[in-house]
Order: sequence, then structure tokens, then C-alpha cells
Amino acid sequence: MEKTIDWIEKDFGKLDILVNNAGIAIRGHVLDTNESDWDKVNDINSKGYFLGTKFAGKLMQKNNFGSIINIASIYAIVGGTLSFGYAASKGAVRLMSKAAAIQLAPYKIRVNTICPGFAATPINKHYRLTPNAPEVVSIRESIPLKGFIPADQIAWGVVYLASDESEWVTGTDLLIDAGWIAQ
Amino acid sequence: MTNRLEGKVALITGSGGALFDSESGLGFGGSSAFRFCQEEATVIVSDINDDIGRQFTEELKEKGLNAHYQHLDVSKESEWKKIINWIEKDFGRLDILVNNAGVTSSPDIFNTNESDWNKANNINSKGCFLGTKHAGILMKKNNSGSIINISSAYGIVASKASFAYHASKGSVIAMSKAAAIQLAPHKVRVNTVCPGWSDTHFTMPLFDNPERVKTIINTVPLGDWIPSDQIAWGVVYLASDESEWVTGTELVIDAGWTAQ
Repeated sequence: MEKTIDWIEKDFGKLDILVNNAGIAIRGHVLDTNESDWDKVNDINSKGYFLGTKFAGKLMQKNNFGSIINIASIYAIVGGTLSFGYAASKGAVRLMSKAAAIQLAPYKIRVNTICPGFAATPINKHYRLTPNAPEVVSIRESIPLKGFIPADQIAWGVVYLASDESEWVTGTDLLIDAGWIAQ
Repeated sequence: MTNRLEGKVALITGSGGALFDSESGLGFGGSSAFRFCQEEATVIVSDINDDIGRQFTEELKEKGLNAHYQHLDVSKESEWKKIINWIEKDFGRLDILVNNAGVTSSPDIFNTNESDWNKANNINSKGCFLGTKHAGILMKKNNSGSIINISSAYGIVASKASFAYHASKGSVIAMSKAAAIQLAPHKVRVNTVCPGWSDTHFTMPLFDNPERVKTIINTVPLGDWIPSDQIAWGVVYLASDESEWVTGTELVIDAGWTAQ
């Protein structure tokens, strides 16, 4: 991370937007989650976002300007039966974003999360590949708008939070979940 | 982009309370009306203050924008029926409703009398219900629509005063979620925007007390009053197809205030 930010500073002179998007999904009940699963999912999903926010924040601080968007999840808000380490990592993202928002506000750096619902992305490729599988059908039926969210919708939310249209938005979560959490 | 709302018909309540050169600037409704027009929506400005509302609509038209004015007291179902009928007859459809009309109520619980309670809840809460219901009936015919309810940071957290206001804005958030679930089969989305401390005509009275203003701003992480235009951009996002899969949620535009 440090290397990348150094390179950005050298080649571009500044960084206005960081999207912490990299993430992995590890499924598993709490009783079946072993230490290495926990470490892996939390290193990438949670610690990765901390490091990104810290080093991007240092560069953004020089300009007194910036927007950091952390991709969390609906599983940062509620629990589910199938994932544990993932939920912990995404919950960490949500609260670390609020803490970073407060701590970076003096430098006019905004920090927000996007909490996507069930989206048809590579991480969930089975939604597309096996649309009639009982598990996929039951998830789709649980979504008020009755479909999987196109990745492009997440992109538009990220654009909004990255742009000056949201200059006064910080420390909050933008849910793009087709109404799932509202139930 | 300047055509994010092209072809859409929008009704914004309480959007005729100020003019472009008003001392307080435009409120959330007026700012939204302006940005909606710029994004090529057909905008119906409505208010109880017909003089200023008509004048503001003329100002929009003078800029070459597609704006119309119609009287609307949001707390009366008969007026909602009338305006929605008029919209259906004249425009054939309604794509966007912004339930923005609202009033403040500052007393604490012990000093809130029944009429304070009724006023805040009839306009802020019941007005939202009636709008959602009657706009929902029309939007359902098209199997498409976006309703944006303006709540408040005071709908999320409480304070020592403003009892009826807190109650009314909290109800807006929960009712929006219920409406989102109930209107989802008809592809009508319902979300709220929760603004924090903004310097509009709504908060103007606070400015008589510089100490109070300082105290408030000291609690805002980004350290200043939020321009109403920022609320407008959030409303544009929720009104546009960019948020086609966003429903039942809150967009908090509060400069970090409730994250603390």
C-alpha cells in the first residue's frame, strides 16, 4: 500500500478518491470458522481497508481534500447463518469508516461506506450460473425488488460518494440493497 | 451529465418557500426543484405559500426550465387527490415525488401541547403518508416510481428539545421502509434523505443567537453549515435511475454529525 501511494504521488502528484473494494468471501458458521479463515478474511477485508485509509489519508491530507469509499456489505449490518468471519470483517469496515470520517474531517477528507445487497458479481457467480438452484431462488425471493443488483448500480453509488455532489456527506452508509435490510 | 432525469415528471412539496435571491437562499425543496429542472425533469413546484411559490416557478421558467406551480397543503387528503388527478390529466404520469414540506417544533416534551404535536405530525408525518399513498396509486399504473421523503438527522438521534419534531421525523424513516416493502412489487422505490445542520430559512431563527450557532457548528465534524444544494444532489441521485436498486434506506447528508 505504501509503495502504491508513493508511486501515485510521484506520477500524479495527488490522490482525490480511494475506493477500498478488494474483498473476499469466506463462508462458514462460527463453529466451523478456523483461525486461518478468520485471518485471511479479516486481513483483506478489514486490515486492507485500514491500510488504504491510512496511507491514502496521508497523501490526501497534503491537499486538504479527498473522498474514501469503503465497500462494506449488508452483512456489516445484520447477521446471517452462513458467514461469520466475513460479517466480522465487514462490520469492522463500517465502524472504522465512521471513526476515520471523524478523524479525517479536519482535513476535509470524507469517508463513507457502500453496503451492497445481493449483487450478481464474480464473487457471487452462482446467482448467474445456477439461477434455479433452490438457494439462489430463495435469496432472490427474499429481496423486495425481486432480483440481483447489477454491479453498475454499486458503481453509480460510488460515483455519487466520490463526486463533489456529496461534499458534505461523511461517516455514513449508502445501502444499495433493493430493500433487503428494510424488512 | 445534465439529463439524468430526462422525461421524468416530478412533484416536490414545500418547494415554493423561497426565491433565488432570498436572504436564506433556497431551501431543500427549491434547490431540488432547480437541480431537477437542470437534469431535464418536468417539475411541479407546490406549496401553501402561493405568492412566493408562483414567483419562484416564474424564476425557473425565466431560466428556460420546465416548471409548473400548483397549490398543495400536504396535510389534507382532499388536496392530494386533487393534485394527483391534475398531474395524471395534464402529464399522464408521475415518476418522482419528493415529500419535502415540513415544519419545525422546538419545545421539549413537557412544553409540547397537543396543537404543537398535531401541527408537526400532520405536516411532517401525515403529509408524507398521504403523498406516498396517492402518488403510489398513480405510479403503480406505470410500474415505476421513486419517492424521496425528507427526514432529518433528528429522525435518527434525539436532543433535549424538539420533541414533536423528533417523533415526526422518526416516523418518516420507518414509514418509508414500510412503504418501500409494500410498493416494491410495483417497482416504486421509497427512500429518505436525512439532512444534518443546514442554513436554510428553516434554521434562520437560530442565527439570532450567535452563541447557539457556534455551539452547533462545533459539533459538526466537517465544521460548517451544509448548503441546501448538497441535499438537492442527494435527492437527484435517489430520483434517478442510478439508484434503481436502492429502496427502503436512508441517505444521511450530515457532514458526519450522526457518526460520532
